[in-house]
Amino acid sequence: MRTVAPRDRRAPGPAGFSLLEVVVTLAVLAVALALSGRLVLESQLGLLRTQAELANPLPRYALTRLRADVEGAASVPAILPGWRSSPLVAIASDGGRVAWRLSGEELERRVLDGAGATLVRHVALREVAGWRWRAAAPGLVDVELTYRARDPSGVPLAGVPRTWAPPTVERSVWARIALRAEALP
Amino acid sequence: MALALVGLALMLDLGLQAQSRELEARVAAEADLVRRAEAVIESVRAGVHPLETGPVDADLAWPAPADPRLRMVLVVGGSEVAGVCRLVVRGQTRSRRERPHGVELETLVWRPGSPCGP
Repeated sequence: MRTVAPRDRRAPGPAGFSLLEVVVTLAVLAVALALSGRLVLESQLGLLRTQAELANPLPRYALTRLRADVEGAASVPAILPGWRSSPLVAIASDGGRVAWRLSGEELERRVLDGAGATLVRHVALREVAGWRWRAAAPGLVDVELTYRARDPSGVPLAGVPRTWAPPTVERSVWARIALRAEALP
Repeated sequence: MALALVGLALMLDLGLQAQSRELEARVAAEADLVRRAEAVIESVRAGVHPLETGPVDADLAWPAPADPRLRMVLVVGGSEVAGVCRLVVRGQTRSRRERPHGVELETLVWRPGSPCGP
């Protein structure tokens, strides 16, 4: 009696994938997944950066406060033309004064009495890298503010230590403000 | 089949990333547009920029140089009150991907003696 070898009993047709084919496919898949994972991560970090910028209202709030003080002032004394980092003093028509100045890295707002003594002081914005202003024309003030913001997109892709904090980036905002009180009759 | 799926996923990821960058560029471009439109209004209020319909004079309106693709015009009209002008500032720029961004601000400016009025 003739015996049939197992090899000969296989059905004709496709023989499936060889080990080499499977290994190559898995390698390609791994590389592609790594690439796509990186892309997704970068997209998420970009969105995080935008969200962080939009969700940080403090610089806008400080500028709005400064705008209100300057708009309501009758004058903003500036002896010399050009940009300066000295305190900006807005003098109201009733003699009240509000001074904005940079103290270290804090932008301060001080309400002064007629003699120049501080009545109220508060910090309008922290982590300020720079500030300058100028009288662009009579009754017109330009202000530029540079502040430090957290940049969540700088997160390392691997091996994040427990003490890690997002790196800071410097951002600048400027505003042109016209004095309203001067224009009133 | 696996390669096709991975390719599709990569294409989708690329689209997502492009959208994210476009969003960032859009936020930055529109914030700059609003800031510059506000500066035009303030310059007009202070009398530095002429109160007349026409293109905005960059040298008079802004303390910082603008993107050369930025176009901003001022439209001055009358209002219901004598001496009060209706001011419309329209600006348009293009992002790095050449997408258009626009802004329009409207306000009233009191200018006694001006022809503005009812």
